[in-house]
Amino acid sequence: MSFEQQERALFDLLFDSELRDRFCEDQLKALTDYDLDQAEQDDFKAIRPEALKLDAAMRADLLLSQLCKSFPLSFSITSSLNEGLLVLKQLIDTKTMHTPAIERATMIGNRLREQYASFSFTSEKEQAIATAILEAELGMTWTSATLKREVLDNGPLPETQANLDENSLQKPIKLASFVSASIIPQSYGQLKNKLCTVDDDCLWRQLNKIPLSVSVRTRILHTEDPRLLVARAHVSRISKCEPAADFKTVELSEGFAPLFQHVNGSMSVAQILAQLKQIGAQEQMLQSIQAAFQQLLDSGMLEFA
Amino acid sequence: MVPMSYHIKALPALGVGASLSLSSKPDPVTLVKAKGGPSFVEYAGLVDVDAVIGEVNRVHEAGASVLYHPSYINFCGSFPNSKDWLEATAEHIAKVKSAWFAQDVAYCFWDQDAAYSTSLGYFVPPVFNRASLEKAVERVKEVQSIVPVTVAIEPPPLTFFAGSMSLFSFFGELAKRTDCAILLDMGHLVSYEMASGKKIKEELNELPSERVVEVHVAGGRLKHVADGPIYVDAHETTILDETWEMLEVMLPELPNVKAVCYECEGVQESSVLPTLKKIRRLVKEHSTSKELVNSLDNSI
Repeated sequence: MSFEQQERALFDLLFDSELRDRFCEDQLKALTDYDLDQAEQDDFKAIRPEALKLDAAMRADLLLSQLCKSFPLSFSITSSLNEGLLVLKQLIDTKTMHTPAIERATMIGNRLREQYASFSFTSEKEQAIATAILEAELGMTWTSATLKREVLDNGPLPETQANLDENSLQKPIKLASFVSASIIPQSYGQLKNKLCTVDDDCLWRQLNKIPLSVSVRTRILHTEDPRLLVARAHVSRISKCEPAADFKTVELSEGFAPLFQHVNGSMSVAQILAQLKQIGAQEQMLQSIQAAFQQLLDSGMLEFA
Repeated sequence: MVPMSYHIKALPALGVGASLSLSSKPDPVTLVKAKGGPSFVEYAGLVDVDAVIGEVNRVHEAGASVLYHPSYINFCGSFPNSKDWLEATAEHIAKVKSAWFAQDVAYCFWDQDAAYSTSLGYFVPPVFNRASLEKAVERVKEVQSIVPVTVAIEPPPLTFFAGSMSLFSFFGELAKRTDCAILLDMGHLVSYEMASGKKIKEELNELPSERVVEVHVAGGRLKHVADGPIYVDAHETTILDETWEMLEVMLPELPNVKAVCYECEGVQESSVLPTLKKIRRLVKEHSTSKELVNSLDNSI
């Protein structure tokens, strides 16, 4: 006899669709895996099956409406895939719901990425592009969650903005904390405008009413103007309970991406530029690369090692 | 019967108010300034007071008091509340001068993960039985030990009902054992009747009615399925006839009500004032709380 077992059953009825289906068919038989005495089992008899189903569906809808804000592009793309919305709804299960709220969006993103392998896209290239977009959003979601967890565990973070001076180019650089970098097929803002026609608050409801069409998805994803999206999560509201995070983003030419492998704390901007010059890079390109590094330092996405 | 503490009796009468989102339409300050507007504003804001204090000050300056209605406290179940969150709640309530604070007795978060009820979609109602009641007593006392103002416990909206105790026997005993006040949402009572098949009128003798200090009225929707209607809380929609009827049934039973609140987040501004007018009329006609009725004299 255990109240904790009753709580576990209650939670599972809300978030385990297989248990819920079995419960709606035969209430008592469905609960045999829980260590409940007769009176505790009888407590669940009053539950109307249709009401339980409705409750669970509304709950999943509300949760996805929030999670959609972390993955607006990916949820929109997923809505255009065969049974995409159903897959998203199925991700609201006990595994997701036992994940702490701060980390839940990251969990959903990772699980959606696993599902992308089994979705049917019009081509492998389109699948790769959709996956890249999901990974970009997942990277931002993960850095945001990590930052919030850090603030909750250790309090406000010291300001890490690099002090830039005339020697800045000579100092070894590395990626700052809470920074993600991904190649996306077009500017994030352009993709958002094309894939999400309503505000984030209304997007999930809109996608359920009118999913993105396959033809629109294909047209948008086949327009290529690749960018390196670099995003740094920063604290927008400090709190002992629920710190909030926002992002600074910089978009650079796709060609900048390979240079990131040298941003590991061992080389300075000057050294990277010297190596590029050695292999024949033109002055104009070197100036452009230096400006990009400067921009990343200015915005706190790179820091001195 | 456990005597009700003076702290509940002594709460101020706030009249007829509105529950609003501080930073969106309808605008609380515009409504407060309007003739026949709400005499207080209730809001379900973030735990950190700094996030809302600017908006709250605007409401105060317009001449209305505020009530804070959190949505992140576990007033039931095995999962304890975070000390940090409760301390932030105490600070919040002190700064906004909320005379009391109320929240649904429901799970807002699961495991050890303090969070808003949105982390579960919305409130998860408790199982209504004695073991659950014992946990609820523990949770309410845990909150009272850190948050110094009067706590009002509220029956949550119920899509489904589980348990062996009636709603009012559960809440009555919980209120008496923790010496707290009660908030009754008329729509939530309708939802209980539909979810359980029981009748509120038949349970009135189990309700320590003198502890009810606040009443809520809000919009809702009915989903009709084979075995009857299911009530869905939906503040942005019209108030159902069943909810108005419940208000007329309950007002005469509640001699110590201090505040009646129309929860109208997302409602068209033009329909708020007529609804407040109707609520005031019903209070005048049916309420046995002299304090509440007297508080209306200047606002009709």
